[in-house]
Amino acid sequence: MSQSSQDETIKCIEGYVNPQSEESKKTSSLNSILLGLVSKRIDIQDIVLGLGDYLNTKDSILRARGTLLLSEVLCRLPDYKLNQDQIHFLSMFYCDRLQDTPCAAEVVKEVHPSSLTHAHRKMVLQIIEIMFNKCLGEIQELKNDFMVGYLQFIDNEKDPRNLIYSFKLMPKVIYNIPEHKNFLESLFEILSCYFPISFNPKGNDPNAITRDDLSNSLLNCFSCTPLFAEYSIPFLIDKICSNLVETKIEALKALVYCCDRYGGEAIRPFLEDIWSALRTQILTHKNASVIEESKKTIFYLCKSLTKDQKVLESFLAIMIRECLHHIKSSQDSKIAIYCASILYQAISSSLLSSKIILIHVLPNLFKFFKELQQEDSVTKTNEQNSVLGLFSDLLKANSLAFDINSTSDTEVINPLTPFVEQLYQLFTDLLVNPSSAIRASSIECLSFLYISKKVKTNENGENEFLLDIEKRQVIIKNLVSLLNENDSTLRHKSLESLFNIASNENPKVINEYAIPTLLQMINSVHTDSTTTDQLKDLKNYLEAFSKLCTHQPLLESVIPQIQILIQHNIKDTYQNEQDFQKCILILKAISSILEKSTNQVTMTICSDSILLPLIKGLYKQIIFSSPTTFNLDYFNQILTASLKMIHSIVENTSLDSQTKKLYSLIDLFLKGDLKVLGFTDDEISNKQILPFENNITKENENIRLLIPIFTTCISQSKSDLSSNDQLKQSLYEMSLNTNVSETTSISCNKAYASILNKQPDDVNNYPTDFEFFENNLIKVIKSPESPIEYRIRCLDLLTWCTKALLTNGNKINIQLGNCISDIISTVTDSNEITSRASKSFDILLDNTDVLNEKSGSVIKILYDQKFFTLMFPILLESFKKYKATPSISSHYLMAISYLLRHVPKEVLLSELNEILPIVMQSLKSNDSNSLELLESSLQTLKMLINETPNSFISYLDSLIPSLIQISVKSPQYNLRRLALEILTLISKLLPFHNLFQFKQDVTTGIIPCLDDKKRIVRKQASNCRNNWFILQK
Amino acid sequence: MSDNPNPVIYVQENEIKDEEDVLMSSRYSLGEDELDPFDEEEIFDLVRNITDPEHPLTLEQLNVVRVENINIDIKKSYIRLYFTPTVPHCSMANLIGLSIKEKLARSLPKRFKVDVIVTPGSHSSESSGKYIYTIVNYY
Repeated sequence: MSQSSQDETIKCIEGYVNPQSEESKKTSSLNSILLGLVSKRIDIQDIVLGLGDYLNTKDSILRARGTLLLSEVLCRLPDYKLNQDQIHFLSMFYCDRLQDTPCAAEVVKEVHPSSLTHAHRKMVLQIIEIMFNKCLGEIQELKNDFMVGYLQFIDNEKDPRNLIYSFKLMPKVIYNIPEHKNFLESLFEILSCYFPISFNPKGNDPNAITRDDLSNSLLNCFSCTPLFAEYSIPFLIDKICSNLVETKIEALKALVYCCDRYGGEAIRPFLEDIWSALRTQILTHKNASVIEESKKTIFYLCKSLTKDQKVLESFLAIMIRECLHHIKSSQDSKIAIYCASILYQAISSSLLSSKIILIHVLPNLFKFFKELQQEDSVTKTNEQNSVLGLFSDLLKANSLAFDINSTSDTEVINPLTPFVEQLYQLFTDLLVNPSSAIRASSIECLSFLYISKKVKTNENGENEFLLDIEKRQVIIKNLVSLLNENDSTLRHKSLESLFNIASNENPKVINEYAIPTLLQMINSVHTDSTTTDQLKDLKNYLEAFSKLCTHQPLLESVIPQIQILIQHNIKDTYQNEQDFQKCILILKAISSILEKSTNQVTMTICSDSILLPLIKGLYKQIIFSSPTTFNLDYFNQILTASLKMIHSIVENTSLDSQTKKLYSLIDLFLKGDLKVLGFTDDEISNKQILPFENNITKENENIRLLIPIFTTCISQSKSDLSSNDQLKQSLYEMSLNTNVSETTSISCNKAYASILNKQPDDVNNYPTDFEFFENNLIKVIKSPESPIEYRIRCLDLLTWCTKALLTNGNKINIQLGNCISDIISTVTDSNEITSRASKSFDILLDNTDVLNEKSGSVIKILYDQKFFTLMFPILLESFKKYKATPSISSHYLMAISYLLRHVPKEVLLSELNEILPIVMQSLKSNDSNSLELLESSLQTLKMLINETPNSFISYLDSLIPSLIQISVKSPQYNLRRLALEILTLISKLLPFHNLFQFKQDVTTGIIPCLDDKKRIVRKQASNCRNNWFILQK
Repeated sequence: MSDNPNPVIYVQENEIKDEEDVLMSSRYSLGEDELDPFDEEEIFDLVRNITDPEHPLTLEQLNVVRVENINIDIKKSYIRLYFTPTVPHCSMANLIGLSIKEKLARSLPKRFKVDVIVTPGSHSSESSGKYIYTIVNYY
């Protein structure tokens, strides 16, 4: 080997071994050595020679690094060939190293941490850890000496990187060195000064130690031996009583964690202290989060103490004694109510604690309640009510504990079992109490008693309750009788309770009494004598019925009754206005029931038993009415409610059961096959009902009213109907028919669009090519010769078709969008058309009742974002181009605003630089016909401020005065309110130093809003002004 | 130690909080020209959620303010609000009074004259006149 390469090797070794070298130098030195070895320029002997003194030096760090280099070389080059002698030599060397460890331990003892840099201290810690892994025996022999050295070493460490290492090492030391027992106090003292961890990592720290890391590993040290309990629990209790909210909460969490790991025995001596600290926090502290955390602590403590029944019993005994004392001395006071919540937490934590507490507390409460009643049953109402509240809390908590903690094992007994009779008696007696508040509370208690289970669930998957069926029936009867109570709290409470019961009880039981009674009540509202009072009764019963029906299994069982209700209430003739009011209320209630149900199985049953009878009812209204009896207003109201039902039913039915129904409906509407609805020949004698027919006589016009029924079904159908040309043609023509109402035409648009959306791409039948739209619709819209109504119909259809093709990602969608944008500037003869064209951008991206997932539409992923990225520049360009003509540019601005409203936030943020100036400009525009523009800009602004408040800092100068202006001057209260809402948002989200200069302007500027004529504006104004007064850094 | 560590808690009346409920509620008329006059309940809404200086509870929960104890005379633009400290020797009474006063001063138009007064018979030093706050021309 040449002299130069030897020098180089030595330099590299030097570079690696020297602890002062930079990390990069170390790496490059090591790499060049490795490369030298691989290329055979140097061999292992040279390295050993070069290391020479380092391997024998007395400086342990240098020796360690020397050894490390050699080891690195061997590990990194596993394929490097060694001869016999070299292997022998190296093995001997490493054997030697192993015997070096006691010396290392001596070194540890002698090291003075304060004299070392943090990197060296870390190395020492690493060495200790290695020794624990490699030669535990030798360290254990050092006994107290090791502990002394160790303690000295870890004391006073401040560097977070070392701290976390040291915290992680601590449990190892404690598990392995029995002598730690002699040093517990000093150990804890060293540890405790770090609690609570206050450390804010720098943002760019590559080692990225977080506060949580440190905090968790410290907690791990605290809890690693139960022997620490003696020091840590008083310490933590002291911290819980400190003045800082954060410290309190941290200490509470630590307490839970430690107690759980120490186990019951270790904390037994501290139970009184723990309780008294927690109690003080809950009963006297002002901060709600501290109270909440303390309550949680009680919950978790009780939960973890379940492992040790004796300890749990003594802890609960202290708690019960004190809580009962407070409850007895003042039932409705803050402390008593908070004591109730403590008991609630303890009971819900586990079945065992529930059992212990209930056995002690319930008999006391019974006795006590009786005393209260005897004392003075009238004036003590508030007190009695609070005790009832406690009863209901206890029952609720017990149910919680029982449901969560018991297994399906039938041997678990509900802790409530011994008290069931007594509780039932007490609550049912109270149902006749003169005070309605007490009755309301006892209803609630009864419902919780009702749903208390005997076993979790029995073999049949049904609930088995503590109360027998007779008692349960009595409760249900009582609740039902209260459903029409005049007192609204009482009524709501009983409905709530009944619903609570229905959600847990077998539908059979509810169907036995509650549902039939309700239906009877609903039907028995007599129409000849219907007064407003009776309508109110009806509303109450319907509310109850709808609420109960939101429970899915129950709804399923009452579908036949719903069908009968529909049949009875869509009548050929109504006796009078009241009669009609009654029926429409019932229909509306049913439609809201169906709207809330999304279960496919249930809705398929509905579709089988409700859909056709419903449509038949509507048909009858048209067919059998004479022009004199037909009431268009009534029909429209019935139709609206029915359409909602049809929509919900079809939307949630499975494809299979849908398809068959659809084909028969197509027969019904396009071919006039009335047999589909089950009409007999006699009934329909020669009647021709073809709603889509082109030539309809004046007297037959009403049958057009049936069209929305059909279109609703078609737009919600999941199947592809595009091969039916007759269907498409009919819908297309009806969409453009100017003789039908706009709603009918729009409903045809929607149905046509839904079919278009599902039409497969490869099918060449009309009309998914651009020319079709160009020739048939766009030309008409642009030609001033055509009647304006017809042009509007064309535009509407174009919009909906564009939406359909946009949703399924058809290529021509952007072309169509471009055309609509074009219409805004080219059609100059009709303001109505231009403003409709700009509004259509709202429809294009809006979530509508059609073309969504539920209706089985083809939805291309991210279609909206794609459309936005293509469309936005086009609109922006046009806006800039027509800036000089406000009548056009304002419509473009509207279109842009509508577009922005529906764009995902991320996309919006990326376009922020373009968008913000536009929004700001529209706020200032004083055009009186641009109120809609203003509203949509304000909506956009509100969303943007919520998302990215800081982008507005540079606009505040002009933004705030504009908002104040709008909030004071705008003619629409909705705009005034929005402006104030945005001002409030600004005060909450932007930095203080940017806002402060505007404080005076806002607080005086919006004073007139405090006297606004609309209450809703005043509410927002006072909220806004108060927020600006208390701006905070 | 606070003056009344263990006050009685009262049930809250239902307050409209949800955005949707606001629009549904009959208290907010929808017509652009309809007028919603100030009423007692609106004043109560302004003060009900002020937090007590000593407990994590609102003035409503402690029955310090009640809707029945607010009078409003629209014609004379005059509002009188009585508040009731939880105990007669409550040293926080003037702080509560001032909080109510300030909240109303910030939230009501200046045409109103507002008197915030401790309920007669509810405080030991009420006669000293210390607990009557009048808001006039506070801008």
